[in-house]
Amino acid sequence: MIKRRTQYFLALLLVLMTSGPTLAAEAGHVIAKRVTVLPVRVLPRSDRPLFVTESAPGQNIERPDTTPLEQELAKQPELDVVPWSQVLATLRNSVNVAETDALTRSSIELGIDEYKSLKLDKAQKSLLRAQELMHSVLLGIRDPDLASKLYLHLGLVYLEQGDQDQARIALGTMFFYNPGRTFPAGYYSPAVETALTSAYSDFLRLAPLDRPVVDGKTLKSFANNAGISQLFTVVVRQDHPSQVQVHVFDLKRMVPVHNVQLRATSKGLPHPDPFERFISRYVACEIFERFPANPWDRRFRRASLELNGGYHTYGRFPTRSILHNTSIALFVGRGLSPHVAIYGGLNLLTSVEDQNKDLSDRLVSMRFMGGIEFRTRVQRFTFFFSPGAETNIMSGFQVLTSPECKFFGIDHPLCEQSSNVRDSGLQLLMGINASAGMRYHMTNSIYLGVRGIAGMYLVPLSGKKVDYPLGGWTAVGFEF
Amino acid sequence: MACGPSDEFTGRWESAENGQASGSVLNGYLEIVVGQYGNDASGVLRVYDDPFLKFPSAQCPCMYLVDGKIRGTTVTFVLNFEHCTAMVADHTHEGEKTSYVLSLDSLSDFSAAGRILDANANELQIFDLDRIEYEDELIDEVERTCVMGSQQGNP
Repeated sequence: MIKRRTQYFLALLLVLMTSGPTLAAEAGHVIAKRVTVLPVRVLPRSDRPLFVTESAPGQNIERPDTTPLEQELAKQPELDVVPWSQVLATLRNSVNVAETDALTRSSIELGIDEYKSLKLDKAQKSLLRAQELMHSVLLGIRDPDLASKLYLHLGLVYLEQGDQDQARIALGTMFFYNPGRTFPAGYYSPAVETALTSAYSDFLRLAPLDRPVVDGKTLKSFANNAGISQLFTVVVRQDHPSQVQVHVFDLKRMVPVHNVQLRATSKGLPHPDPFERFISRYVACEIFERFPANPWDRRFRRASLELNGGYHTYGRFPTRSILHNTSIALFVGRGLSPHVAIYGGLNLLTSVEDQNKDLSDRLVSMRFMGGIEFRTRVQRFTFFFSPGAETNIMSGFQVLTSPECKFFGIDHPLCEQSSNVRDSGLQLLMGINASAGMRYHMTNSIYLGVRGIAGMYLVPLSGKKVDYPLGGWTAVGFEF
Repeated sequence: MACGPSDEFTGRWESAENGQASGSVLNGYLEIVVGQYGNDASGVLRVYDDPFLKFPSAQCPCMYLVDGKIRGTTVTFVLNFEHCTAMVADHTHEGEKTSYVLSLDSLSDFSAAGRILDANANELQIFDLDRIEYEDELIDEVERTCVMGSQQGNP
């Protein structure tokens, strides 16, 4: 009879458990965005002479110092400003450069020699090899003059081969790395001079000036190795010296996010006032507005469904030896703020055989639980503490203390029922509990967790045969 | 050894092959069913005239084993002869009931040495047992009672 009653009870609980849904939303945090300011790009006048009588290849235009811009950016607590020199140092350390740098330089020199010897195919091969090596270690970013030299000769080789399109691209890229480059007048043929002039014109109109390298693959490699989220680039066009362009490029999303024209100072930098206003807008839009728009950061508002399983026992139990239980629980929850959530759920416990087999049958408990969760998130982990309340409905149980009652049955004359059999009907217990634990977020919506839970029953005030629930659970949760 | 302390004696034990109990107390083939509950135990002992047809012993077909206590690898029961009339006559001293103790020493998971002692701890009988069943659930209700045909051993 007892077994049948318990079976009905278990079946009822299982139905309730499977039809019911903890909370695991987490807190979002604004982590300082790492930004850097590229050296100012100064674009000479469009009508400047490219071919001069006394010039040296690789001649540099004087660039304004970007320190004032970095200082202005560093005032924003949401930004972590990394000096460009430090980014370059990071690149040198993050890629194995020593040998490859040397190989690149050697290939460039070889290609130039082969070009001068009119071994065009070999020159092309050497220069393309040098290009590949250079990009593999981001040498073009670290040494723009070298990159400029490579692309000049690559362009010249293409011209000699009659490939005007490739030549135009290569020569344009040369100007990307060294916009102020000039050439000795009369040194190149008229066809080469025409190609260089045309490439310079293309460069001024079309070059992507908001990034340190043109090639997309190399830019991605830079993004992976530099440890920077966004790039600031100031472009000074000497055709319009009263204004400067400020570009912001997002290396995570690989897209330009801002491009503004600001009043310039005499030194060729953005005027402090408009630049400060721009930075305010930038922080407001790019940091705070994006914060709630980012699904990861909005997670605290999401609901969650958590399935728990594990071990449970009670500090007070009706048997002579400790009463072990298996436990499964289903919780639903919803975040109220990054650090607070509410949760509720259902927990089903079934006892396992105690050492003395005092319980004549399994003790089944159904706990309705709910409460508040306080939590904090550290990277992929959420740590939480949850005070709550619970109602525990326990099946009736029978405790036998005599081996004769256990072996022969309670109706047997050898079983003295009065002293050896204790019956307890259905029990309703109400009390408080607290749990603490952590979760590891495997993906945006799935996490694994562990939880320890303890409590005590306040109702009824006396006569409780079971009290002080205590458990340790593992969980898998889904957020949606 | 068994899986846990609660399993050390639980199950059905029978006289070892070709080993009939003989001595001053029980004569025949023995079968003991034991339920162990932590350090407590209970059981039923049956005596058959032969191991194959299992005709219950006329003197005393079965008796209850009560107050079983386990100490280490030994369990001791009090033998309840009350309804084994013939044996009661044999083992009643000047009209007073005499108590006997059955002691089982576990030798391994599947063998034990049994002894019957009198109230003065004199060893009256020794026999070997083999374990046939290991689980409480495999002992059915009928085996837990002393009802043997017309002879009923209710206390």
